[in-house]
Amino acid sequence: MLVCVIGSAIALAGEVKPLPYQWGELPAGIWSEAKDSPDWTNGAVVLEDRVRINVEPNIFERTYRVRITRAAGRRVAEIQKWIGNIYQLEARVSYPDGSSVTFNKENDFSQKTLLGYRGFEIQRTILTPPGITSDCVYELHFKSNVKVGFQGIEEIYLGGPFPTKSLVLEVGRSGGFSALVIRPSSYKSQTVKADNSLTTTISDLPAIPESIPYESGSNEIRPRVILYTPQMGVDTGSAIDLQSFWSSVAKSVWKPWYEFPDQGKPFLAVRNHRLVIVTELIFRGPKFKALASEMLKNLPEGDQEAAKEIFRRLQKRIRNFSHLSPSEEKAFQAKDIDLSSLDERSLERAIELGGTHSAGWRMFYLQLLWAKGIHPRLVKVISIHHRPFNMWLRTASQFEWTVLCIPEMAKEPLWVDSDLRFSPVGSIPVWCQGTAALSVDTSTWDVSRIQVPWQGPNDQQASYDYQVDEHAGLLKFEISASFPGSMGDQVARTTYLPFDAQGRGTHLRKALEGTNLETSISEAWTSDPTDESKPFTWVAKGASRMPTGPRILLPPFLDLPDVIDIQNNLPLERKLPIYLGAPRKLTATSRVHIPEGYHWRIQAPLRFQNDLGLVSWEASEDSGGRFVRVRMETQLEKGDAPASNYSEFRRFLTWIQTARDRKLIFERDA
Amino acid sequence: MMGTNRSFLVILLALMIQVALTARDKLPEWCLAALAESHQVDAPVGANAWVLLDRSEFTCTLTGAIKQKHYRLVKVLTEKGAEEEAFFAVRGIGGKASRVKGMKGWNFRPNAEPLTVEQEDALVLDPDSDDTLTSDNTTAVNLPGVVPGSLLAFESQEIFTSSMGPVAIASVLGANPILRWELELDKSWFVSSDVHAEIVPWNLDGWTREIQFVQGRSLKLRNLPAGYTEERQGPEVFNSLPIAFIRFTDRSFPAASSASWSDFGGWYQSVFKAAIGEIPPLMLTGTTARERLQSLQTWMGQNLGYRQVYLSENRGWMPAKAADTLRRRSGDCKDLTAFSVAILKAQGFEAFPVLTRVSDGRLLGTEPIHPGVFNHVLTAIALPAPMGFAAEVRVGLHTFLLLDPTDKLTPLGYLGRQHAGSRFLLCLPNGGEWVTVGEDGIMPSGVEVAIEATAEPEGRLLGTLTMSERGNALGLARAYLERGQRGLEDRLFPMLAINPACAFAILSANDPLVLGQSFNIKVEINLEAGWQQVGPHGALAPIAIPPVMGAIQRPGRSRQLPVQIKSVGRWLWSATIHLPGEWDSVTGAGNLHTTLREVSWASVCKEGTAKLVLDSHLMPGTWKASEGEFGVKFVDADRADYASFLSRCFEFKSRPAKEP
Repeated sequence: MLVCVIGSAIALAGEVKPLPYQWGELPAGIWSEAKDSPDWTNGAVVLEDRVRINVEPNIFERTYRVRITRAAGRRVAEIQKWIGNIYQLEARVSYPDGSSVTFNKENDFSQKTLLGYRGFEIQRTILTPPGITSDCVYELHFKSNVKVGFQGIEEIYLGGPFPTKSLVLEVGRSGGFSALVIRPSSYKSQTVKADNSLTTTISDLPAIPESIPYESGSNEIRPRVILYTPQMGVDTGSAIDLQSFWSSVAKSVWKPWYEFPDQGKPFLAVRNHRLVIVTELIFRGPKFKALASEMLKNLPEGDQEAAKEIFRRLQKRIRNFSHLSPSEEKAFQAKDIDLSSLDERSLERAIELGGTHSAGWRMFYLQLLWAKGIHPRLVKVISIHHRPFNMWLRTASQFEWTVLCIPEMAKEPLWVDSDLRFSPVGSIPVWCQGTAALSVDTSTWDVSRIQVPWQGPNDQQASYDYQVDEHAGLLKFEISASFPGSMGDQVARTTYLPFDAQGRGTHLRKALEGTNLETSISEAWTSDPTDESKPFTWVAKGASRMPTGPRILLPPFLDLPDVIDIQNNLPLERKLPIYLGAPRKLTATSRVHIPEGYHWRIQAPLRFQNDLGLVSWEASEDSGGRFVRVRMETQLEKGDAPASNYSEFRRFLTWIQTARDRKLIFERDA
Repeated sequence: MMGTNRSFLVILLALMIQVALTARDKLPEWCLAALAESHQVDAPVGANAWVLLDRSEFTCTLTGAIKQKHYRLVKVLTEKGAEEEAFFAVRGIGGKASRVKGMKGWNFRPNAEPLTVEQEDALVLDPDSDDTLTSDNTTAVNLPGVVPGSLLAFESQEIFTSSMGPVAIASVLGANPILRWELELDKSWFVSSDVHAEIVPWNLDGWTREIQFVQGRSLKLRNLPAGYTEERQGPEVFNSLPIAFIRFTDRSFPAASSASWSDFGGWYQSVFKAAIGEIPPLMLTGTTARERLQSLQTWMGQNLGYRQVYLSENRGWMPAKAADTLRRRSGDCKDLTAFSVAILKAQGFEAFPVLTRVSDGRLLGTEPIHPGVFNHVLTAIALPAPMGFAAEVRVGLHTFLLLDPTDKLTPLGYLGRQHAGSRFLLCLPNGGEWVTVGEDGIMPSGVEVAIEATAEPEGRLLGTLTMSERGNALGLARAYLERGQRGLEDRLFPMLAINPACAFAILSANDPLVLGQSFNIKVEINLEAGWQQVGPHGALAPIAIPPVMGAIQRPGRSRQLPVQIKSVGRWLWSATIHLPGEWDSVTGAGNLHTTLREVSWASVCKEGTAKLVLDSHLMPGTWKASEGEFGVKFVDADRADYASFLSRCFEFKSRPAKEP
């Protein structure tokens, strides 16, 4: 699908009249091309897609020709959001009888506001290509301004759900932005360098689905160009090799930020959308020094043990105001603290307030570690669901999060996510496990590219205990949930933190009931996620319909949360690595009351295992013959797997589904 | 002197600020009566919020515009209620035809200062979608800080115009129960004694018995339940949920003032005809009238797409010129109808617009005279003589063929199932005429499945599946037409996949635009665990069988809506499965009759091959709101009985080896 934004500048088209685009003749044979190849199964093929960026200063230009052969292919002509504001737009639709229509008027490309909110406004113009039929050639040419969005990075994906015969991307050096072209190696491509531009041609780009199941945010199959604002304060010229560039970022950007003096100079900053002079000059004052002295006393031996203890002590003294429950939020608001104006280096102010925001907490912790002589690594990461760290993307704006990693001789590194409340020391956040990252040694400020490791399944567990019984014609059930493993507990707490007690119950009920109407949850309760003295737990009660007949099938695990989302309709082939998410383990037990007048037909246990994990299901009747006890365990051992494991992966999902959905069979007594 | 003036101004300003603050912090006066009443009664059990007052005041202006003032007072009871009710929206047609102003909102929080929002805080949301480009928009304010216990008050004012004149429809129900719902027509705006105001309450039965109705003046309802539930298989909203039709009749606005449907139909035909314009004839093939009509339908199906473009107030009712539709190669129902009328005229046929309702309800013949009862336009082609088409209708001595140009998948001579049971207003030069099309005129729907497969001892089932769909019963032909093979896969494969290890490939699918035949698909199937064998027991995992209905109501929760079960027609499933070894069916034959379904089953195993036939016919069923619980019980019984019936059909036991 072609994607673009046409902004208000279209209105200016009447003011500056560009020369009409010269469409030229359609290629010979365009109407008679063989349409029995798989390329044509969805009714359209993009014959040519030429994209030029910054060849003229800050101009994005696109020329697009598509052959539509069936009604389903008409979608190829839909135009959605792209970048910048279009100021020249022309289109032509040609038909097999030799006729054609051209369009370039504002009436044909209507403009309207999608969303407006006070001064802030997003405008979108929908391009409605007129004249599109199920048998035509559609051509489009437009120019627009180049804009980069949030944090100075704009990613433009090329190709789409229809195959492209020829994609030509020309990136020039005329604009104020840098560009990084990413072309997956699996496609036929060639690159030609000229003095002021780089032209990449990809031939026979296949259709690329809009979403691919079990894909991380790596977008490995999507050719794309990333436009970005060059990194400030560092020489970004291509002459500097990557290692030097990132070392330079560490030493010129991050080092001065973290190694700040005790007293700062006033500086200009944007706070609450206003430019203000920040005058919080005392970063480390007497209060910090006194507190640091107290907190660093009598620490255990070894960097990692000391770091753990400092973390525990700091948690008691300085709160993380970025993650509060509704009641905490209310109390916090009463203090009238503007969190956005709080400088993360202002440790003195954090002590006065008794807390700070996430970045401030990390800063505080780091300063204490340094004071103790411990030099952790700053691991700069991006969520695995977004975009992998790319060394060639020469801007530090690409990072989203900073995790600390504390090395010690003869020990595994100790990971600390000091930004997130409830974060367990020693656990890596689930959303950055397995992703590429930049590690910065804070003693030397040297950098290295690393792969954040996966943690074992025991770190993220969920355990569900069921009681199932018939009552008044309904199958009643009660679930008690707990989350052993430090990261499992943290994930569960964070999920429910934004709600008050009633809201937590509602959230849990909705999550369990889902969208089908097979069950109803009558009670749902969670423990207080802010109470760190106890493990986080929840309890829910519900009912389902009680089947009848000579043989009834009862599900032992009603409304069981999935350990992984199971999709049945998977593509036949896979070229991308498979993303499963951080390793984890689900254990479910159920005690099912045998319905009056029935007996349980013994069912054989199941046990499956492969490289990806294991699944087991076993049931037994208790000695009194009143209950059947079922135990199911699902363990995901790996966070990702190569495409070559696709068959194993699908089999593994099938095992999980089989165990999860297996019902107990009861037959009426003779 | 100057100093005195300045002091006076400062005092005046301070007073004005004080008055403004007081006004903003106080509950508006229109809230007081409803609030006082709410203190006398208990809040509805289980509600997330309680709408204490929902009041609309309509007036008509000299130019035929309608001015609507809307007032709403809500008590928030739960977190969910806070989420639902903090958002106050007014939907309008945007542009010059609709203006929203004076939007205000108050959030009176428990033990805290009130928070307010004004028009300038409003969001304007655009409902454009793939098939729709419209100036319609929704103006909404979102109140901050809403918590359980909050009392929310909103007011707004909208002025809108319609090419139908001063008409409107007021919906009644919302996400939460309502204590007082009020509609009032304000006569003070009327400029002529000829203007007559009319309210027609609609579908009120079963929703409330507390009704105060003064014709032409007001409609007041009390104690209404929540209208949006997660209940499934409810009827179309137009035929079940309460609304009020409003119109101001005046000779200046003939559409709004029609005294009869005949008048309205005649008027619409004349304006429709005037709007169409002319186009040159297409080169249609065929010599007979039937062949030429067939050729026209084929051409339109292949060359015109459906797309709404509503960027002016007239576009809801008046078609684009036929020449514009030809140029754009797309349009909505009235554009496509107008195009068909124009092209038929160029070919020597006479054709007329037909008004009806689809998607959210059917016209039963009892509706009030109000343009808002329609939402769809199709074509009536005057035939020189009856031609034997199933969707022919007669008006006096004339015969007309109804053709829905929007529906590409229904062959000439039929209407799609969306028209079943509805009525049609033929808009003829002499006036409107109501007609109906019997079940014979509706394209029959149904599904046939045939499987030929081999079960491997380790459990894999390999073979082919052929599916024939009639009347777009499962939406497969539509998915293929609109989204190609990928659309078909997305629609079909989830019906077949029993687990993630299954694999399917479409071997063939015929062109859905070749009408008059079933839509046939052939699929290669590879089912992991399609055959399970434990000792002497074997079982097939059937695919593409007529499914057990999903639950329509959560267990233990009472039904509020009526129940309406629709049928996809007959579903005939057959399979020839080559089993690993010699097996016998556990259930050789059987029948099941429920209130909603008739099923027969037959299974014969011979020389290692099982021949299976499952013939199911799910019948339509309707239970009105007061009988909704019965409907749920019958549906649950059907689900349980059918699931139990199926559970034995696909089981096999191994045949003991014969003694040598």
